[in-house]
Amino acid sequence: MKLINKRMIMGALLITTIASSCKKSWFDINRNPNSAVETNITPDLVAPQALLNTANRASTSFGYLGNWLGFWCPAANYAPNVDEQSYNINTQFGAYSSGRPGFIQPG
Amino acid sequence: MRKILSLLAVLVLFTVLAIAQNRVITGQVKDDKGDPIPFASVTIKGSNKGTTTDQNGNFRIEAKSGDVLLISAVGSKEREVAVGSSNSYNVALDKTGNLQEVVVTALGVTKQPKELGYSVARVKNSELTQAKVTNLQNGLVGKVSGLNVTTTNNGVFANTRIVLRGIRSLTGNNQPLLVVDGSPINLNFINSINPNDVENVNILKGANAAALYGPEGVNGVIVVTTKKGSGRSKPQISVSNTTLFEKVAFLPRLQTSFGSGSSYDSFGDGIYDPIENQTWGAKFDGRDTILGRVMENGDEFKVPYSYLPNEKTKFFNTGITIQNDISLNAGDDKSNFYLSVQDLTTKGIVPDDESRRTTFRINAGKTYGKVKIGANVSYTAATYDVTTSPGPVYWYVINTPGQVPLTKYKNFNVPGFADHNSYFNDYYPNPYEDLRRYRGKGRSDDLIGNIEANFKPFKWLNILNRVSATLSTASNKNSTEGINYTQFSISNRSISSGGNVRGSVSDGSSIGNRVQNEFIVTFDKEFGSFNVKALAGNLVRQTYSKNVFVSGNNLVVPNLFNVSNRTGEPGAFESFSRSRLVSGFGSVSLGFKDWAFVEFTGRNDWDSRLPLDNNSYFYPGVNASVSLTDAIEALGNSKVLSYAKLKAAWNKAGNVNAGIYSLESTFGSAGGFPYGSLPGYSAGNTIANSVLRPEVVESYETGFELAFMDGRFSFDAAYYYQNNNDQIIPIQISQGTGYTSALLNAARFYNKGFEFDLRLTPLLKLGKFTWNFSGNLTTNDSKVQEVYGDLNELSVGNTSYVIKGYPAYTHKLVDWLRDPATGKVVIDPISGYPSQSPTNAIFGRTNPKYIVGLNTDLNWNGLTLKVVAEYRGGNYIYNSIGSSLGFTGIDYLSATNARQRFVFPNSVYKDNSGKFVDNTNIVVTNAHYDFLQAGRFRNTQTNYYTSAAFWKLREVVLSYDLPQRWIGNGKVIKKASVSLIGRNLLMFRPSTNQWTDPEFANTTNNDIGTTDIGQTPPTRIFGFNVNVTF
Repeated sequence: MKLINKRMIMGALLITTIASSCKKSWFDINRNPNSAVETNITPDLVAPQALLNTANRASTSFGYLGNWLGFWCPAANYAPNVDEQSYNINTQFGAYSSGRPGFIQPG
Repeated sequence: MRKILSLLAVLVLFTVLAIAQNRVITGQVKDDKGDPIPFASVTIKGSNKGTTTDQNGNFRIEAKSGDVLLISAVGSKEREVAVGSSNSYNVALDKTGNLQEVVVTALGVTKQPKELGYSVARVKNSELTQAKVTNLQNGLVGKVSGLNVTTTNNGVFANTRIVLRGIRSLTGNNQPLLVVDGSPINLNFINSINPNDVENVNILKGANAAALYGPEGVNGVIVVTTKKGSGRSKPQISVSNTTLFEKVAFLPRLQTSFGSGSSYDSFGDGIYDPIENQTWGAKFDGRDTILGRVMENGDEFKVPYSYLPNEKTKFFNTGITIQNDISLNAGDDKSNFYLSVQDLTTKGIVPDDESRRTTFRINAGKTYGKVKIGANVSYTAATYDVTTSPGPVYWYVINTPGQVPLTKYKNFNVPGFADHNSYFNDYYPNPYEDLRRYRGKGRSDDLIGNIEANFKPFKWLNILNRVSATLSTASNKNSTEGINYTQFSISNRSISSGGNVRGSVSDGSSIGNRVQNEFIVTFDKEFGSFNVKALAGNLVRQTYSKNVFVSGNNLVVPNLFNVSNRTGEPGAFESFSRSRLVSGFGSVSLGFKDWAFVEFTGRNDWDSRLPLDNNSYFYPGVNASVSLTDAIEALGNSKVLSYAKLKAAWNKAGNVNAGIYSLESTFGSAGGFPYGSLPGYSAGNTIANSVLRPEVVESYETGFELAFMDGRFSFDAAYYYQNNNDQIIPIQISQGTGYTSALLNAARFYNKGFEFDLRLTPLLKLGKFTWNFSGNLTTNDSKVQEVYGDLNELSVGNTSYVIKGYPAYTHKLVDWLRDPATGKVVIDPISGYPSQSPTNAIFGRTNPKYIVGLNTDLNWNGLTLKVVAEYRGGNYIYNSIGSSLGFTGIDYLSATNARQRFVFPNSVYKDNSGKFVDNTNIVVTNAHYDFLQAGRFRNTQTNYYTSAAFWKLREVVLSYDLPQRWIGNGKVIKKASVSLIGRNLLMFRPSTNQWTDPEFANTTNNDIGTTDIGQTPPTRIFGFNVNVTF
């Protein structure tokens, strides 16, 4: 009987432990310790990359706009962006690496 | 049998000796067919003394003459046997139902099959390990319906994907939960379990069966029960050795006519190039030809310019797997003990790849009156040493031109043609050297264990507390040797690395643990005609993991692989994760007169991965069954029909596919930053959604189970239907938000199918010859009903898409431009070339629609032949491996029409009036580099798209139990057997699939259905096993 009592006390203790540990704070552990998140990032940390990216875009990626808007006009015997200029936008458009990256034949 | 038994009973009754003295009584409990009944209860009437039988039906109990033994087992009629003068009793029990075997259901609750309103399949150890699988999941293939185990690669790490009853989440996890000895653990641990330690595997096929596991069980559960050791008179020691050999079965179909080169002459014929790995060169002519450049010492390496068959297959070794097992099984009526050690070493088919796994297990338990305590612990240490070649090696081997004697390049350390200064090809390395230069070594230590205490204060009440833990540590070190070229080599070759390269190293270690406590109270009592079984429980769990990784390039001292031995900044990475779960669950089941059963289940989960204010979800379920043979007396007395049951179940469960820390958007250091001391952070691609809910899965299931002629013939059928709502999917959003995609609860789809299991035991019995047969058929179909608003499709990776109105998942591929009326390919009337369709077209499903498993075993005089075959079909595969091989010109399609101009088959062109006209005479302008090698051909994915159907001879086992007289009539050696084993010996697939095993995939995620050169070739496994029991 003694054993039963002991077990019951232990069981009761366990339930109380579990019940008391079920507080909301026990679940409040879902804060990302691996990366910066919106709550702790500051604008000064994001600005350099934003500026760099904007500059990159403006200087290297807006060529297609120039083509389409007619600002640029290549010479008759030189056509670097035929697909774009002829509006031939199909599934292969922009696919630079054919097949797996790394398998592009050197030379 | 019955006569003998009555005789025995009479004998027992008439030879009662009045010796009121306790002595040991042993015996065996069998069923009416003479098969032993494990775990039958043997108690002394009027006392609380009792025991259970072991796996072979043997028991051992202390009793005195005049005592009455009360013997009972699930599914059998109780029997009383009076103890007389004999010390040994063999007892046969008549059965009441069809399946005597109890079934382990959710949370380790054992039930009779007739009580279940859902499907549970059971695979015994003998079936699981008959072909001596090294991973548990491979032993399940083909044996039960509803289960799809896909081996996506082989080699020393065989990657597998396990799916029960199709998929329920479009973008999240679809693999089942693994439960070992009652404790839910991460599915990854399935590879650390020694299959020989497994007593049986119960497969809870769907969310209905696993309702008590809540979201974790939504994809079904694999319940593994390990051997516990029990009630034997003497400890039993079993020793076994298994040696298996693995050989490459086949390589992709390759062209055998053309050698190395990458250009053509004015006639469109290939030009030979001695340093090229591409095989767009001249036709083989058998003449001695220089291969590679002239070496520094002026030597030339000449080979006959002809195709060398099997040269690539010879590159791969015969893999060897050696399994040594020793186990000890002991116990008495109060205690049980099982100890085992398994050592498994594998040498892979890729030269130098090897792995080793050593597993120790101790399971022990003891009963003290009303308290029973037990511990089950297994420790697995595993090491590996494999190549980490970025190639990968398979790619280097397979695109080697046909005339190159690859195996002669083995001695790359000896200066000469095999050395990297003189290797024939500038672009790709010598595979023998490359696999030595790139090595990955690692070690993992896994501990899986639990300690449980059962307290049974009354016959109808049981209180269980179980603490379980999985602990794992792993470390790995990847190293790349530097490479130095001679000055001659640097100035004469176009070395792809640009010259000498220094070594690099990376070193990582991780630790993870998962600790949980389960407290479960079960209640089982009869109230008149009713039986009430109730269960209430609680689970608390914490999961933790930590990874640290460092790397360094430019190693200073060659071959000293330590991060501190470097110049420049080291790379470093760290991650930490922790999650917590609390569950409360309960069930009440009512049985009426042992023929009608209904069970209600409920589970509530509080999950730390979900938003704090909204982290509690309730999952209800109900299931019912009716045993017609028990309900209707006329049926129960039928000589033909022995068991008939109807079942139905419904439940609702969640699928929490939110990862840890996925509620907040993250920012990481952008490329190029930090620039000096200036940091630059940028937002990740996905904007987090802090109000994500679990995906909702509603499962319906119904079916029947029939058995005829005393269970000789049985047939089970089940139909399931799953409504999967609130699917979490990423949606593309305007980049103006700073992100590219957002996660939200949107899509829905259904998933349904039938499962049929047929057993004929025996199919045929003639004297000592018996022939058993079982077969299963699974069908699975799904349909996407909604994606999100007007959005009708979603890519899930590779060529797999979720498309409204189509099965999940469906291939979407680049196809030729076709005439919509006839489906014929449209060519350009001038050039003869077809062109690609501007939009990707929808093709077939990626997951199998039909799976058939056939199992048969033939027994004669100790000789047994077991065969398992499996069919899967209805699904399709995109072999991107074919496209890669087309690039180098080694794929058989790249030699279409011997690379001479040809009329594109089944093609049409537009005539002047704009009508499509069949093309019979317009040939492609150039069938060489300009067409078959060009992107327009290789990137047209439908060229490499084939049916993924196959028949495989999964297991063939021929075993022989040595006769007792050969082994000394059981004095020392109790049992000895030898067997020959074969796995995956044969594969049949449609002739269109010329590339690889259609089961393979470049992933184990949801987007299976694409093969690439990242897998090793398919293999056959064969070997032998010797097993001796003392």
